[in-house]
Amino acid sequence: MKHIVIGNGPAGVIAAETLRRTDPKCAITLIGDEPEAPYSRMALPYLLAESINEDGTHLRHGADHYKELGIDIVTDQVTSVVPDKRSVTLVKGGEATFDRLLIATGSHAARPPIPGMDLDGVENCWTLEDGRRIAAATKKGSRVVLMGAGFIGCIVLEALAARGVELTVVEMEDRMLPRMMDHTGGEMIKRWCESKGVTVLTATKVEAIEQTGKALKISYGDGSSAEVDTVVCATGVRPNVGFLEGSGIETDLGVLVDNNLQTNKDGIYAAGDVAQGPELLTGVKEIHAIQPTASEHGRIAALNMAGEATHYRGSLSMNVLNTLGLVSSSFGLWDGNEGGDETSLADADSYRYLRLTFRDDVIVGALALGLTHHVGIIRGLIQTGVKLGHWKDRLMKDPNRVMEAYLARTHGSSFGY
Amino acid sequence: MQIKVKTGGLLRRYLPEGSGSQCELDVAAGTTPLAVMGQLGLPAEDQYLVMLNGEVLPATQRGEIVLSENDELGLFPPLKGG
Ligand SMILES: Cc1cc2nc3c(=O)[nH]c(=O)nc-3n(C[C@H](O)[C@H](O)[C@H](O)COP(=O)(O)OP(=O)(O)OC[C@H]3O[C@@H](n4cnc5c(N)ncnc54)[C@H](O)[C@@H]3O)c2cc1C
Repeated sequence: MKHIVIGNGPAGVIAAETLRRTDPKCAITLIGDEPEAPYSRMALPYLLAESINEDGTHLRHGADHYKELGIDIVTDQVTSVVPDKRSVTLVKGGEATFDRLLIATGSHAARPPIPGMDLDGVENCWTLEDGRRIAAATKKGSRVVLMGAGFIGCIVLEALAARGVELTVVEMEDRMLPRMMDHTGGEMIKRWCESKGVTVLTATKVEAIEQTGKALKISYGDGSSAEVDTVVCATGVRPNVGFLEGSGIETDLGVLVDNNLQTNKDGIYAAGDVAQGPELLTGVKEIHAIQPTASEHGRIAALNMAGEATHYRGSLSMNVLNTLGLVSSSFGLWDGNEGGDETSLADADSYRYLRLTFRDDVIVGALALGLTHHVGIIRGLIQTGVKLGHWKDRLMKDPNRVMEAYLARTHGSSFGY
Repeated sequence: MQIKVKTGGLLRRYLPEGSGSQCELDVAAGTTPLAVMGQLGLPAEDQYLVMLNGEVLPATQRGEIVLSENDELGLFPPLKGG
C-alpha cells in the first residue's frame, strides 16, 4: 500500500506516524513545501518570546526520527491531484502515484485588501520564516501595531509584549476576541491588556499603510494616524485548497469530509486546518483551525487509510488563551443554543467570568476567564455529554460549582449531595 | 414567500433588529441563497459557511439553487479557531 500525505504540519506528521504504527509495511511519503523540518506554528510565540530556540519549534526531535519510521520526507509543492489516475503533480518532482492520499495542507494567513499591505515591515505571524523576520525587526521599544485581536492575534500579542515592544492592537470589531468571547469577556480582556501597558483600539479600521522614510505610517478610519516600525497582521486564515481546483474533490471553504475524514473521492482523505468536517455537537461541517482538531483528524484519517475503519464523532471548537497572564477559554456553542438555558457569573474587578450554555441538562458551550482549573473539566463535560441531572439547577444558580458537578456526575462520588 | 434564516456569531447583526440568531424572512419566489445574502447586506467579499436545510451549500451552488417556501437557510462564519 502506497500512501502520500500532502502537508507536514501536525495533521500530516501525526497521520504519517499513525500509518506506520498501523501498517509496518506500507510506503509513506510526507510532502511539505516549507524548507523546514516539520514544525509547530503553535511554538512560534515561544520562539518570539525567546523561551525556546528554533529546534524547540520542531514537532519531533532527533535527526533520524522520520527515517527510522520509514517515512520518506519530500520538500516540494503539490500543484494538482488527479483522483482517477491516483496521482499528484509536484513542482520539482514530476508525478507521484498513490493508493491512498491525505490532504493536510493547512491554511494561510489572510491579508485584508488595504493599500500598503505589501510594504516591507508589514508581516504575518504564520510561518517559521515570518517568526524569524519579526524577531529580526523588533526589539525592546520598537513601535509595533498588531492588526487583529482574534485568537491568533491575541497569542501573537503575548509574544510581542514579551519582546518589550511598544504595542498597539487594532481590532475592527467592537471588542477583543469577537469570535471567541462575548462582550463581557472581551471587555475584561481589553481592560486587562490596557492595565499591562498595551494600547487597544477596538471598533477601529486600518485604512492604509504608507512608507515614511524608514518608518510606516498607519492611518485609521477616524482620520488619525501613527508612525510605527513594524505592522503584524493577524486578520484570519484561509484553507489551502487552490491546488485542488478542477480535481473533482469537493470543497466548500475547505475540503469537505465525512465522519471517516474521507472526501467525496474514494481513498482520498483530508485533515486539519484544510478540512471542513463534522462538528461534535451539531454535525454541521465546519473548519476548526486549531491544533487539537489537526491532531485528532490526522490520527483518525490515517487509521481509515490503513484500513482500520474508525468513526469520527466530530470536533469540538475550543480555544484556550493566555493573554499577559489572564487565561481565557471558549468551548463549543458558547454563544447559546437554541431553546437551551444558560447561566453566567461575572466579577469584573477580579477579572473572573464564567458562562455556561446547556442543551437539556448537558453543557454544550462555555466561556471562562481567570479560571484555569476549569478548562479540562469543562472540555470533559462537553465532550462526553455528561448528563447533569439535578446538578444543572445548582449550576444555573452558581456556575462556579462546575468542578463539584463534574466530580459528582462522573466519579459517582457523594461530593455535594 | 417566507423562509427561515439562521445565523451564528457576528453574522447575527445582519438579521432584522431584535431577531437574535434567527428569523423568518419574506423573500421573492424564485430567489436564490446568494440573493438573500445580498438582501441581508452580507459583504460580498467575505467568505461564509452556508447551509440549506441542514446540508452544506458550496459557493458554486448558492446563485443557482432556487429557494422554496419554509426552507431553512443557515449563514455562519467561515471558520473557527484561526
Ligand atoms: C502563531 C500561531 C500560534 C498558534 N497557537 C495555537 C494554539 O495555541 N492552539 C491551537 O490550537 N492552535 C494554534 N495555532 C493554530 C495551529 O498552529 C494550526 O491549527 C495547525 O498548525 C494546523 O495544522 P495542519 O497540520 O492542519 O496545518 P499546518 O500546520 O499549516 O501545516 C500544513 C503544511 O502544509 C504545507 N502545504 C500547503 N500546501 C501545500 C502543497 N500544495 N504542497 C506541499 N505542502 C503544502 C504548508 O506550507 C504547511 O507547512 C497557532 C497558529 C499560529 C500561526
